[in-house]
Amino acid sequence: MADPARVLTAGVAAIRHALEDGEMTAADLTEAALAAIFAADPELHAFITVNTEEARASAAARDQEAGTGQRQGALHGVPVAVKDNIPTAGLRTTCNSRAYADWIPTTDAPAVSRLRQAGAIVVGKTNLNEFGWSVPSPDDLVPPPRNPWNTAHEMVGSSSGSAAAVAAGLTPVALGTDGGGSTRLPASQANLVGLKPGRDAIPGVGTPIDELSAIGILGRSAADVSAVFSVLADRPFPRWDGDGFPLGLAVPRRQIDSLEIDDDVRTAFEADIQALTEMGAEISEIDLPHLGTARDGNFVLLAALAHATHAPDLRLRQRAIGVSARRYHLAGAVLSVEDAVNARRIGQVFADELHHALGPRAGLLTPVSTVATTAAARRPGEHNRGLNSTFTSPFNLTGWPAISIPSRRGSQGIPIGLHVAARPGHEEWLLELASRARPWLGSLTAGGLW
Amino acid sequence: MNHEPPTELTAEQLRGILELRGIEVADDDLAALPALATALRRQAAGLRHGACDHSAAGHTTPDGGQDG
Repeated sequence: MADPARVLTAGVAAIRHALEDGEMTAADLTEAALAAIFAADPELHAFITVNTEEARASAAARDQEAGTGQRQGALHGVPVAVKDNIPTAGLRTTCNSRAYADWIPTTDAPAVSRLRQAGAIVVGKTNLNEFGWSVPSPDDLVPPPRNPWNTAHEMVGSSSGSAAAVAAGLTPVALGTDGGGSTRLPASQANLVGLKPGRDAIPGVGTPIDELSAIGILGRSAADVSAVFSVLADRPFPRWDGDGFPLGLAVPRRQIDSLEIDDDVRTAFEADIQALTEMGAEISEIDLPHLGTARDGNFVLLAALAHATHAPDLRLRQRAIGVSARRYHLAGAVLSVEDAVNARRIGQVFADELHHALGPRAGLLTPVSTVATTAAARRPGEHNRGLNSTFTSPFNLTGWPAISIPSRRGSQGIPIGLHVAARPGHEEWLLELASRARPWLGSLTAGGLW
Repeated sequence: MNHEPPTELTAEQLRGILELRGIEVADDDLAALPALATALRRQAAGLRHGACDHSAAGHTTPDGGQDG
């Protein structure tokens, strides 16, 4: 008999084997996940809603299917957490807002529906910055998550609850969203793999923000994220044989050298480049003059789309929105259609620039963020311009896939990841690179630590 | 004559923009909004110039796009 609490942190493949071999049931595993959540969450605030009864019923149904020999999905019995801005049928979806405290959707977002069809068990809804577009404020629905690696620190948002849940071993994988780095940034701070798929690789949540924001996947290993991505994108994972895996990589050296970047981040990045070179990667330097403009373009367009999405809330129940989210959304009113058009134009300009500069190379290496800690990311005058997302948000504007790969640990105990972006449709290459690079990067133990 | 839209808005201008959209704003929020709004409009102005610079450099523009 396997210990469900240990299997819970051993990854999707280990869960599958343990269930198939009859070493435990989906009900055992679900109880282990629920127990872990109830033990850790008073300190972590990773979850807004724990889906106790429905998760138990779902696990019992999975066990019954297994007992009668029915076909089992790729995520059979796997506990998953879902960011609380992704609609879940019959399970409240609050966006961490008092304005949505009682909203119970009648249908699942397509990504959630695909998870359930593959046999996954939704154990709860995870915490986020209100509406995914703000910094935490005292009048949000619930307080912000703490980082399991150092609970003195909050986690940068907005999929911070999902990152805290996976890093703490409460679930093996979780869904987030990523409109400017909101999956990759907290994944980086939690020593996780965080994938932002390319535009339209996975159906979104059905709001205007889908133009920039993708459903993200956070896991303790590339294999776990790959398993979920295959289900959500509904496509098989390719195999690269022998020496056929592309390892030509590029670094935007002039942009990195000219930016204000925390010493911990810069040191980790240069060490990662050295490690990947030793792994066999061919790394060359390129110039991306529109990188900063693309960051600004994403911030402007996201502000405009966020305002448009929540304008009805601003008219009807404005004071039920926390002060930070309320002001971020109000400010978007000062943008014009011309601004939005210009932002989209810059996205095309930057995509052209990337294509030409990358040439035959497969991916672009950068730090995930310019800063190592959440406090630094939220410095006055910087967060409201998106400066900490300089390396992540340009790929929301272009719609290219990108990933945060676990690497090292900064001086304050907070992990620091490596960011890699690739051309549209190359999510599997990113995940394979994350898997191959893992033994070469940093000295942290893979996965969480809780 | 300056052909650029202003990047800095007063609190009363902000109130007017929001009212045009049917959104009322409380005084406490109105006091905080100019800083946020100015930062956004500066970024937006940079995009306008970025698009113009790009056109001048002879790169491609989106279908139907006309810089500047």
